[in-house]
Amino acid sequence: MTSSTNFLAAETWSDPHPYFDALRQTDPVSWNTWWRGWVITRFDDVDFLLKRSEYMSANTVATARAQASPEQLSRREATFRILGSWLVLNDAPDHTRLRRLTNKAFTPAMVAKLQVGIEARATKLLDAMERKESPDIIADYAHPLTLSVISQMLGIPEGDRDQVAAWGTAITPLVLDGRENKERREVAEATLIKMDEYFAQLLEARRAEPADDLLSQLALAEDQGSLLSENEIIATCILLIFAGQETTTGLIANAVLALGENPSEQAKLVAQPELMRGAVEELLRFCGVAFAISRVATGDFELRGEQIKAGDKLLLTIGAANRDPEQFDEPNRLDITRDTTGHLAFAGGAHYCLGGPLARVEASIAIKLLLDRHPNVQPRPQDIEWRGVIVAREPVALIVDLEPS
Amino acid sequence: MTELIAVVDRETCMGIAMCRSVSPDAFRLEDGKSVFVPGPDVTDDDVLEAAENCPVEAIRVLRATGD
Repeated sequence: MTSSTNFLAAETWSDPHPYFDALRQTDPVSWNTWWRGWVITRFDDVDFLLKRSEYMSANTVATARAQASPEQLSRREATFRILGSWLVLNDAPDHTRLRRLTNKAFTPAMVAKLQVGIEARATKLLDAMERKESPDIIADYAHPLTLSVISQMLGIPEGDRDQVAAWGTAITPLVLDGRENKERREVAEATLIKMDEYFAQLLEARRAEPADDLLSQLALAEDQGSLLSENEIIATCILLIFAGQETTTGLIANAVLALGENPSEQAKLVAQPELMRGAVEELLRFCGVAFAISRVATGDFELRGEQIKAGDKLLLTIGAANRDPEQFDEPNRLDITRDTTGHLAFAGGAHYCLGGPLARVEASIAIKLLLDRHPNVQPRPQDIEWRGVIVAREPVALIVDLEPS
Repeated sequence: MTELIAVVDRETCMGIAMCRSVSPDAFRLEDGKSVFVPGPDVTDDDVLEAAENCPVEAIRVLRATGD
């Protein structure tokens, strides 16, 4: 069947689940004329397609490049070159090669070493947030926390971090499906060129004088076996800055909001902090940031009676799949003690979220320290503005009362 | 055949299927968990790659000692 709903319009996106629940029931493989692709909403289908990469390509850049005019190709050279080397937008064997080096920096064992530093940073941010009249979980807590962690991992000098973070946000329109306005896209393309130059210089500096950071490791890997080209290393840094802050920031904010809307679950977590591990998994299922993943079919195949053709766009809606009642009982209820095995918040298969282990640790620490100090923290009644991008559903700001009266 | 064999810790495995993506000949999913399937096309590299890339470090590599 066909639909034409713009699901990013505020009336749907502010609470997308009723729309996607209905779509899953009536039209689980739905051609959407607005998005110009298939929208897939059932858990089984999303899970199957994520784990069978032979059916699908992540390389949406190649499609865009093939359709571009010579003028666009020259004007958007940096975009095609840098995003074309992002591991999230590549297939095997390039994806495997790009991922192998970064994988080692994000294993659970490596991430565990960061724990003490994350706790110290979160504590300082809480101290400062408590002095604010309108504390914003995003601007005052989650964002500075995740930014400092990823910046430190990469090895970005402290004085540059705010600038680099602002750049990371400004390039968003390049990645998210081209439904942004022209002006923002032009700013984004100019920003990408600045980041390219910045990381080229920083890489040069680390080559001359290696430090204990990921950038130095990547530089060393380039020198030793030229497994990665310089452009690929720079592209990887830009990707990590982009993906390493917005996503976990959104997860923490979505979690604080969901717990606030489910006070009995919040009280349970305060009373039994040992439930945190499972609670984070349930929050990932219930309100994880990555709402959907965009793919291109590599061949013709049939799915629930619909004929998918090579080149068709597919939108794998993780957020809807994680609320499929066939997979999770009473999926629209937040239950921090439920069995969440198999949830798709970090996707699956070859492109399973590289930063998943880090996101889990950051979110656990951020939520734990917040609730330790402010067990009754509540979002202030407010009109929440949701970022209008399909790959990530998160509020722009989330003002809270730390000690509601 | 391989000199190396993979052992998947079923408690730790989350069924992410990274191993199947990296080494499609050597792993398959059963009941949502990964299983090592030795076969003529499976190489030692397949085993090592899968273990190294597992996001939850659920794959141990052992050296086969049979004679």
